Amino acid sequence: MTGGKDGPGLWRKLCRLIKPDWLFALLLLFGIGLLALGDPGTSDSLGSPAPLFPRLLLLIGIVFFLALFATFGAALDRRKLDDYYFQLMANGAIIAVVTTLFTNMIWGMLDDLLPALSGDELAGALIGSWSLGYFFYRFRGLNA
Amino acid sequence: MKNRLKVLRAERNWSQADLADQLKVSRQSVNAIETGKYDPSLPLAFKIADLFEMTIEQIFLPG
Repeated sequence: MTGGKDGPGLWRKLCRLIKPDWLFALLLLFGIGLLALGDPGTSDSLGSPAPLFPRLLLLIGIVFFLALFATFGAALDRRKLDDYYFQLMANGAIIAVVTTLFTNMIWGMLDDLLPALSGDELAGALIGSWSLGYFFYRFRGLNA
Repeated sequence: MKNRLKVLRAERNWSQADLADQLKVSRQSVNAIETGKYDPSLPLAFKIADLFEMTIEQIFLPG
């Protein structure tokens, strides 16, 4: 990945250009944008599309509080679990997030050929790839 | 990162389970450190150094 005589210097400079704070702030905006643009679906009882604004506020609120709750849960996990297992789980979770995002993206590109993915199927992809990620790191090691 | 954990443990005739008990971690953690699959956190590295009455640098080697 370092490429040619510029070696690790160039790669390191490129990596330094990516500021994680800015990247994650952009990802937050992107996430909110996706929530806003997502298919509002229909209310089963009324058969009409759910109003966008209250639905969006509710979604953002739920995501915010669940993320906060998960943060406390993860902190508790970190204290109670072996550091080794916590790192395996955390690294596995990164694999899961990336895998699920790309699965969703590829499915979106093959929209005409494949039926749309349901929420449950995406959750299945997330949990399955988390487990796979855990075992990849378990067998290959966290330094691999 | 390389380490001398396996040698130090063998010198004391400790099994991986014995060492894991003293460090209050799982045997799998000790095995992962010894085989270079995992670099311990700083608190665990200090715990290991304390247990062997050595400095961290005497146990963990760069590279």
